[in-house]
Amino acid sequence: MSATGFTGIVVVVLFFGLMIFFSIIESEPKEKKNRPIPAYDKIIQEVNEAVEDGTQLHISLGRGGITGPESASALAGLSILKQVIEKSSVSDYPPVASTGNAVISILAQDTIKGTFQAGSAYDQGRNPSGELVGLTPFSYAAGTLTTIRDNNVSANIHTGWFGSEVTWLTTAGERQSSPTIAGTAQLPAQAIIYASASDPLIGEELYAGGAYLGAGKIHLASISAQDVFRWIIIFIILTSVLFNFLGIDTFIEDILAGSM
Amino acid sequence: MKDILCPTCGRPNSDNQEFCNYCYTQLGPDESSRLDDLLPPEETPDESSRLDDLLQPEETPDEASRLDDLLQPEETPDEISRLDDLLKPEEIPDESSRLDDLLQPEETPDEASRLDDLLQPEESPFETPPTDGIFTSEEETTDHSTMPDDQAQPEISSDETPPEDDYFTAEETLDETSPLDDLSAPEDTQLDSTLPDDQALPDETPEADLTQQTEPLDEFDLDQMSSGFGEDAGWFDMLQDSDSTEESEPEVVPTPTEKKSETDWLERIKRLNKSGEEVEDDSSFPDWLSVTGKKEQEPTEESEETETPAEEVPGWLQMDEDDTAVREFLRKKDLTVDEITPEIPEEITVVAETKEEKEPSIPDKEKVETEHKKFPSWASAEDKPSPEGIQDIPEELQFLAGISPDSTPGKTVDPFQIEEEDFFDDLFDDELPSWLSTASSGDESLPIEHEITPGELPGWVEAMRPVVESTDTTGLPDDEDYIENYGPLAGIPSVLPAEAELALDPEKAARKPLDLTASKSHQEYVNLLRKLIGEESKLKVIKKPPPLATQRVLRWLIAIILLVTITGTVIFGDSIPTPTPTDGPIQTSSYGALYYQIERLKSEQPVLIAFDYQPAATGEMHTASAAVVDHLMEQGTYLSFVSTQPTGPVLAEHFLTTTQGENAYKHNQQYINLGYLPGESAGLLSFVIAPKKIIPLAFDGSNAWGSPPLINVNNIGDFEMILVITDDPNTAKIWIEQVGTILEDTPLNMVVSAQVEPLIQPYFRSSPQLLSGYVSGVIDSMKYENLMGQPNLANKTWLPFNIGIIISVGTIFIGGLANGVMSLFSRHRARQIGARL
Amino acid sequence: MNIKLKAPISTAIAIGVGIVVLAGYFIPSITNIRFILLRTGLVLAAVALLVGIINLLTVHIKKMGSEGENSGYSLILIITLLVTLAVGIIDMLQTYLAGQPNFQMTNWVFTYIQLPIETSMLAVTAVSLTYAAANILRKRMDLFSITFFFVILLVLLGSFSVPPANIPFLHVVHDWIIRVPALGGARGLLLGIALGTITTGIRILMGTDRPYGG
Repeated sequence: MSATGFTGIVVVVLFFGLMIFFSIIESEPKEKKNRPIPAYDKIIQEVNEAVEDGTQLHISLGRGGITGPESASALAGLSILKQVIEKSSVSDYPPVASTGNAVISILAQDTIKGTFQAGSAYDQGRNPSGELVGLTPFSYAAGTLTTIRDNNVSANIHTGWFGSEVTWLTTAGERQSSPTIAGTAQLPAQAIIYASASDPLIGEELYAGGAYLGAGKIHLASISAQDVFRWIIIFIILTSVLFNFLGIDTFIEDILAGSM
Repeated sequence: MKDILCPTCGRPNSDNQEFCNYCYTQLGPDESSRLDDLLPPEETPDESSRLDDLLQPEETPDEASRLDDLLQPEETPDEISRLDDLLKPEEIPDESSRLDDLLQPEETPDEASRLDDLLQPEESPFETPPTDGIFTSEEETTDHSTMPDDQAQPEISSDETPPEDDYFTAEETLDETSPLDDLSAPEDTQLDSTLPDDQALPDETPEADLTQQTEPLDEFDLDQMSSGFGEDAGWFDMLQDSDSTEESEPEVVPTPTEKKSETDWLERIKRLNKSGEEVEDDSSFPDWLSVTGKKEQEPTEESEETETPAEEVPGWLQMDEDDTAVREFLRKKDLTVDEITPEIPEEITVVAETKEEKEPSIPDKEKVETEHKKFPSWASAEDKPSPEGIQDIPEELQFLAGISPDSTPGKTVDPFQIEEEDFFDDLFDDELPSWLSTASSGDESLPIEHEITPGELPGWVEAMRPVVESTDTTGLPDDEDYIENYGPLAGIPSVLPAEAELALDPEKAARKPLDLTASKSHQEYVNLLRKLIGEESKLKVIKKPPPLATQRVLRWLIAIILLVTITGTVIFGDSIPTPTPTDGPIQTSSYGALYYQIERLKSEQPVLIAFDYQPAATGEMHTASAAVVDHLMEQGTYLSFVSTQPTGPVLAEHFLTTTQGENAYKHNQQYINLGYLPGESAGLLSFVIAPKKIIPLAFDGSNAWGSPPLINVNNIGDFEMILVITDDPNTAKIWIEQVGTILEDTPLNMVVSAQVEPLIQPYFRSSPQLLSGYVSGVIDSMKYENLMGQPNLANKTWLPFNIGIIISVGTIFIGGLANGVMSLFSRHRARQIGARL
Repeated sequence: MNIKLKAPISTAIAIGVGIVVLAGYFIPSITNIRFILLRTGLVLAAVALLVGIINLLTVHIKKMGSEGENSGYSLILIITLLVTLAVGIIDMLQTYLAGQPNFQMTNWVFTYIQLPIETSMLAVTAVSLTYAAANILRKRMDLFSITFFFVILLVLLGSFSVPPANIPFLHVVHDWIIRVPALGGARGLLLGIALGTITTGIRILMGTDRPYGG
């Protein structure tokens, strides 16, 4: 086993243990004070208003697949989709979902069906389809525009894997005077979202959707575990800078290389 | 003239006045007082004790004696007489004659005729004289018109109706129906709600000549029953009518068969009440019929019963005077035994013995005497129950007396089986029978008068108020009269129709003139409610914070400027000399590193090129990669194309066609297009592990690995170079992390969009170097072309690219500042407005 | 009954496969198992693409049947999808029959229809991005937005080489921004994203997140 492999196993196991640990000790997750993220507050607000107004929310899950690193953002989008559907299950018009990836489309339909069945409100003819609207980024954007421009859609939530085509989605939402909550793991798209979306999700905020929308204790424990690892990374970076500044880094490298 | 002191205010009034001139209190004796007068206190039977017997028979040692006691003439109250009517008449079709025969055979027809009045079907309760006229003449009844029966209130619903009410309900509706029929009718109705249909009325139908009497029972419905609830004191009224004496002559002697069939309802009652749980569970079942199951009596005994003289009337109807359970119950109800004891007219007892001997202590002797003559003698009975009394009881009634079929004569079973004391509370809590409430409100003579508030009717009189009058207090106009046809109030007119009111327009309903006295606070509440209801129907626009309006003018302005300037530059840009961008040392640059790597490649060495960009990025990516691919072709390398994008294979062909047409590379000879590699990073990882297994065929279906470009390639490390062309930073990262970490000697290079450079730069500058070199966007491509000395697409697009940047920067700067200033002004304005507010 | 059976089975499969593939990254001895699973995943991903296209077709057939305002677009989509599919099949048949690659019709559709459309959309994206950058101070007038605004201007000016804006100082600033703050910020974001990715993956492995309907 290589050093990279060993490090990977350690990281995964440590993460697993931390998540279990925090999910156990945090018996009252609602009392936990997380950093406020305005975008998630906005999602809750829009869900409530959509239920009151009889309007729909549109959730676009991006075009990220399930077999790459972008799968994490796609799964985070699915988690947000599930929470939004649960919270708006009493609405006459449940949220509508759109995807740009075939696998995510299937998963989205499965999530929608499962969530509505859990709430005993499944109506196949009425509920969101999670349809695949396009296979390429801009065909996906063009296909999603029709949903965004639907007059019954009161807000748009773009959570998943997007590229620069996301500016089409955010601009369309602005033209419809509907709020746009957007987040992605792709950095250029994050810059676009920050400039064009009304409520952007920056960086890892995308993955905190479950915790902020009430998906359960394990999501809150995930955030706590991330915080622990973030401090570990900060400590490692600062230590490396210090060693480099003092010239100790070469000394350690030589030790590790066995040249001494 | 003699003055009469008002019992309320104590002021004198003339004796011909019916009401007090000062307080309008009735000067004549009210029901209670007259009843008290009728029945001297010393002779007042202990009604509660009989109730004790009725309700808590377990404390009674001898049920038969209680039955006898109940039928004691001197103690038989009106309620007891009703009980007689309830329990006896099914034995004899003609109730009056049967009762006469049973109780007082020697009685004159006058008494019998009074009982016949009970059966007068044509007697409307609204035409019935006051109840206190039972024992007075009809002339006297006019003196008490202040309490007519038509003022009775429907206090008792069908569920709450005691048997007496049911009895009288049926009584009014059925011709020639015996009191037992009257009794059975509502009970059957109640039973129907709990019993299967096949056990209900059909068994009730008597045979032969009893058919006519029982037919009304079958037709009996809730409406009929409920319509009589208001006349719960009708039995008083019926006793007044002496005209029906002849009608009540016993005409038909029932056959045993008939009697048996007529008493089937009692059998069912017995069956239903075999267990106490059944009785408790069946809330619709009359409480007083809560008895243990007894075997049905033989008809022959019943026939004998019909011939039983008054002296042999079973005394089980009589209540024990010292029944402590009822006393305890009444104590809980803040009542005394005397309070609940109905006034037993003395006439009952006295007349039972002899009409002439009795001397009633009522104010008007003449009237009383008249009543005495009319009073039936069946009430006269022995004070003490005889052991033979049990035998005197009809068999179908013995279960009521607690006589078990298999029990010895001296062994009795509780006829009114009450499970627990709480049951009393539930029974009498809010549903006190009218006769009991009457008893509680006016039993003793003088004390009761003090308990009744001046100007207030006794409770039992209130209970007699008719339904129609009672609803007048609602203030509803006459046209609002409504007869309920469903539920416990079925048949009662002028009840508030809940369903209809709910369906009404609230505003319309609110306009109904109600004679209600509302205080100011009530009016305020009404106004508030009306306002809330009114606002509900109004569309209310929820004011959201105004969204940021799109600036279409700015958008169109930006589009037009960019389009015009860039198009003009593309057309006329060739004539404008453009300086190349300056840069640092080439050796350390990313494009320089790539350049020198390609320079080191030899002819026919395999190179893998990944076309991993979207068609939309074709303009930039073709410009950026044209010089690099051209350089590879110049070196004579074999090229293999692969793509993790579905459109990649076509893009590769398009790229070769549009940018490398001069090199004339041939498919399957100098290059091979492996096509689409599904699975993104997983597919890429699989391809790196075993490329031949993952993509065995080329894009056109040919054997890719047998073609010259791949003939010497078995794994990913056999390629001399891997070049990734992508516009996606994530794709670049995947190639670096999934493939670059596996590659040993094969360099990984990239041609990327300008937006990807910040993310891949660390891989190029880090150690170990995962990325050997890269060209980023048009700028690096321009430098690369300059390095090659062969101007290509980058040089052609360099000027329009720069013009586009200038326009963009200018637009962003001007538009941004303008928007920033506008935003500041709007904020300042909002603060001023907020400060004013 | 199906739901009760489906949930544990699908969850067990997802967790098991995920753990094996993850362990395959670190443990070389199970690379073969991991490879088999990956190949199976590739086939399923390709099938999923087909399923997605069928889903796309059925959804737009339903939309076309309805009287919505966008039913005309659905009709166009269905026609173009079927035409493109037919063109691809014809090219494939010609290639097999001739023994030479012959994708002329497919290339024509791609070159003259899809490519211009998508390229134009990207061009419009440039307009939208310019507009968004100009509009950011109107959306959010705060320190970060002001910083964002001026960094955009500096980076664009730094990549400019046409006089009179060809100022060496701007090139230095441009390079510094790209290499230091932009790279540092991007790294920080990527680290956060990596942590989020790990937790998301672990939740999937734990079975607490089941987007597969389990």
